Amino acid sequence: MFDKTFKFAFQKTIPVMTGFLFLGITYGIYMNSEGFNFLYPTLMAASIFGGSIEFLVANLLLTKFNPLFVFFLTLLINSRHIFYGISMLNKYSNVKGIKKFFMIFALCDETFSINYSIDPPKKLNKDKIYLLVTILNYFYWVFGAFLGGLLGSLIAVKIEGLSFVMAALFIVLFLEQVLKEKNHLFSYTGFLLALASLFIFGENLFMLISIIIVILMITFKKEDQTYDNH
Amino acid sequence: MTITEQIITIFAAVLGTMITRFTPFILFYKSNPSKLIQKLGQYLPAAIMGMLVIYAVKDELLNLNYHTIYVIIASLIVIITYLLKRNSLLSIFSGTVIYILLVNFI
Repeated sequence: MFDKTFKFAFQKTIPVMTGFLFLGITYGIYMNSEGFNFLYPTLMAASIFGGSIEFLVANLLLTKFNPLFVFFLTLLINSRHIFYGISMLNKYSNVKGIKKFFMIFALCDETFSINYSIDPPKKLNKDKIYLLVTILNYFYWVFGAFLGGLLGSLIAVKIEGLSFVMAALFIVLFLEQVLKEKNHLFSYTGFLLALASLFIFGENLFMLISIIIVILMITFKKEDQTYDNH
Repeated sequence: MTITEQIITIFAAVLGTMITRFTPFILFYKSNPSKLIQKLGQYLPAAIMGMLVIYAVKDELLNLNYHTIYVIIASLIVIITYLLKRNSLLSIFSGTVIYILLVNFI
């Protein structure tokens, strides 16, 4: 199990391990402090597997019953996932069955950006690495939520600022993207557009609106043979 | 909320999330994606990578205070060390350690 493929995949997920264990534990502790037993954060982490939504649902469980609201709120906030799928259609096309199901089910921001950027040595099996990265990231989050929910206030994980590890990961993945592409049009546009939209449309809508604007740009873009994103 | 209502609420969130993740794979299962979808798959990820950077620091950007400055400093550390050393883990952890120190000791 601890072969070269596993080592390669594990190494790519170390920043996520740090961030997810920490945030997962924080989430578990939060639910525990709201009076839920450890099964709630654990099962919610395992079934929803989307950090921001889990915090929201934890809150909404304490208010009036309104599943339609929860459903549409989730669709809105997680709508960016649709475009991860579109980007991974090709890369995931060789995987089938239950493995494929799981890789789609657990396609979060971090797993998408790692698996999209990953460029393993030729002798390693890419599909296996995609699956391992997905499983590891999933495990870190669910295990963190379980620990936090079980131990609650017993464990003191108050390292203020540790969550910056996720931002640092996205910065490095973005840099890797910029350094390997010949044409920076879309990477820079994405960055600047999101920055502007955040202030104009607020935190719930800015990703979706930015993505829609970029899609319109791509739709009306003429074929460009010189553009190479790898 | 009763237990049943809680389960339904959680299920609503599971269903919403699953729809956003499975839709493209179900729509383009077997049938070849159209030219536009192929173009999206080619160009969109670079833009999304840029957006995710903003997404990760949105709270610090929306609430302007000392943390905003710390985020910018730590981000620059990540960028500079990466450009110099090209070592992802080194950059990620240097930036994070600097950020933790800034937040806690200044």
